[in-house]
Amino acid sequence: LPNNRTVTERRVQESWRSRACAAGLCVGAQVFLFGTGIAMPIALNSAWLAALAVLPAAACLAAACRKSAGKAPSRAAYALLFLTLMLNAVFAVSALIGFAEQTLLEQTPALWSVTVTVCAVALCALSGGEGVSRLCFALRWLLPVLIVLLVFFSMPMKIPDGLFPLMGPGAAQLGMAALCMLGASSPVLMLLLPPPDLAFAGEDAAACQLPSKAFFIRRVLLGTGAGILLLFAACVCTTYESIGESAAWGMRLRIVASDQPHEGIPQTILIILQMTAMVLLASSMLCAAEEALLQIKGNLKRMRLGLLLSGIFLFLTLILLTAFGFEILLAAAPVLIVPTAVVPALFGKRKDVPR
Amino acid sequence: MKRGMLCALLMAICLLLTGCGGGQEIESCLFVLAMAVDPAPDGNLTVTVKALSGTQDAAGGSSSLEGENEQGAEGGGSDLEKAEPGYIVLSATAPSCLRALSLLSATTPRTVNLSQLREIVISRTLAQTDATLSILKEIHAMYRANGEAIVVVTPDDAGDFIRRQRAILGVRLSKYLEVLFEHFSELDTIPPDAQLSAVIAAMESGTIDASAVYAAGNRFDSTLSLETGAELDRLPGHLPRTSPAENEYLGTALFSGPRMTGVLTGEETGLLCLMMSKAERRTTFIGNAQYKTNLPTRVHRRIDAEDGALCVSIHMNLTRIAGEESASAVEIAAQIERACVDVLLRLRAAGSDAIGFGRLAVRKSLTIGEWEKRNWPLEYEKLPVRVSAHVKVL
Repeated sequence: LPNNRTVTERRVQESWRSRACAAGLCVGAQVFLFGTGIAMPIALNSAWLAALAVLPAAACLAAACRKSAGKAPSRAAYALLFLTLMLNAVFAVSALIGFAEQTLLEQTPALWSVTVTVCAVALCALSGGEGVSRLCFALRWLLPVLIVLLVFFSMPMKIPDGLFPLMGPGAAQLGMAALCMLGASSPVLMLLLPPPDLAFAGEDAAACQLPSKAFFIRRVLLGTGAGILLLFAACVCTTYESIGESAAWGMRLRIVASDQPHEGIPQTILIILQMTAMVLLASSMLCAAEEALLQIKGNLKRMRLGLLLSGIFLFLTLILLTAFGFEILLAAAPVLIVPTAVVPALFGKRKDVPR
Repeated sequence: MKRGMLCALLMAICLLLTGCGGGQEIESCLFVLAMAVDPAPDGNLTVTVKALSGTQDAAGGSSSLEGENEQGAEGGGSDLEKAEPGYIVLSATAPSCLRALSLLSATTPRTVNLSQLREIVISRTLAQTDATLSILKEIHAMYRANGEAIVVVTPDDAGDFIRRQRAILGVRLSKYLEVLFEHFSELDTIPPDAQLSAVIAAMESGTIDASAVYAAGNRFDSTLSLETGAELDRLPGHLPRTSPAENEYLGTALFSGPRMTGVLTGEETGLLCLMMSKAERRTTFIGNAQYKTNLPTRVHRRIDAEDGALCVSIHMNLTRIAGEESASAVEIAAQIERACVDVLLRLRAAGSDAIGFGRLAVRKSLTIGEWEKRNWPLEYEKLPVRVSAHVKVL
């Protein structure tokens, strides 16, 4: 029988594995959302090329997070991390609302959509960061493979008509879109926070060796690659003129699900799976934000007050966005690159806390 | 405590996630099956729809609706006619298609629902203007409009066209139209990408032009005799036949951008389908013999690197199933080549790149600016065409 030490070591490894899988899945989903929301209006059919910039950014970020994991920075660093993760959650829920309005809930009032979506995300987040990570781990192959298969069956045009002109509107716009896309790697920041289930394992867990840098990078890159692949499908299955005509974010999100989301079974399943990925991204970010909040104020752990506060923050932000327009969010999202670069640096500054 | 809170939350979710809010009863919808758009005086459009009346007995349903019609006519030109049992025809005139549909919705005690739309008929006069794209986009933008509806262009009055449209052979009109388009697609006498969403995408694209189904009412007394002997080398409305189905769907309406610029006969449409690699015709007549056709490889299209010629290469296997063979494989190949060149020249003359050579040309441009500077429509009209056919008679 394995001794306690071996069991704890395995638990640490598996907790980090599910955490890394969740981060990979979240980055993949965020790449698709950033691609359709921000890169497509700038780079049109070459948005997928711009998204390739996320690959090195996500790898570097994963390496930096691995290096800084287990270090305790100032409260300000945690506050910045909380805001970054919350902005990610707001972005994911906004995309979910826009997508639902264009596909399954076309005639639903905006306030109703916001309420229902926030409830769904909060309900999913109720299981905690550990539960969401485990769900992501369970779906790590199933979700991307099903999405890829359904995209193949649902694409409105089988011939890659949108692939050319390869550079889209030109190098300048492509560069600008690539720069804006870098913020899509920010969900990796959740790796700065230790999996919450390890808190119960006590000192043994703290003494255990974390998985290697390559371990994190591999999982994050796989997720990013899946996101880029989905964005590639969205770009090539329609022409740059049609992308230019798709004014609403939700319209661009549904390109891969073709023009008839109500009629075809594969299209409807694809929409549901895409929504599942968005819910997982939003709830992962919400849980990670709750964990960051707990690091700032430990007594918020009682009755999940941290989650409640994060949920209220999310709801109020979405209400404001509903009133003033989601364009504000799309304009502000590229700024995410700043905290994404700053937070790991702040975490890296402090020395290791005594285990 | 925690469990209690969870239960309360779940119960709240049950209320919040209910799918019944804002639901529409089937009786409250006006399911449109066919829609026609005609030009009207002063730049207006007349939109005519053929819809399910919702009752088996049309007379019972129409009496109440006629009353509404009178009100609608006073208010803004809405018109209603009795068509056939189970179906009603309504029309409205307004400055735009969307406003005409709003007028119909406002003057009928039902919500206009385009989810069951099977065909959109546009009169040729209207299709020859730049308004076509905006009309189709307005229809497509309507809640749950069926993007798979077939776009049809007719030289007649489009409203009259759908009034004449009746389900024959004992099926309901929606199924009848589905079967009709499927059947003509298999015969390759109508273009393959005439669905609403495909037509809009092609009209918006700079790399391919749209094509729609060409159709007209049968005028048996004014049969037009064409020079060729092929039965289907004609335009609709001129077929020597009688049938309870008055409308004839045959041929292609060619578009250059949003504007209709030409037509192809039924036979030419078959060749267009062949060159687009979308030919479905399984049997064909050549001379007095009937052949089973098979395309072992995709039809290869390219733009010649030297002289920029538009080249099409067809490989075809023919198996004689009936009749006497009167031509050799080489003769048949030469015949197909000549016919395809004629079709390409007609397309070029109409300025319509329905085959999509633009999609090959765009590959040489690295950026959108470079591609748009090239001015493909102008270049296309000057390029030579070449077709090579390789036929094997098995």
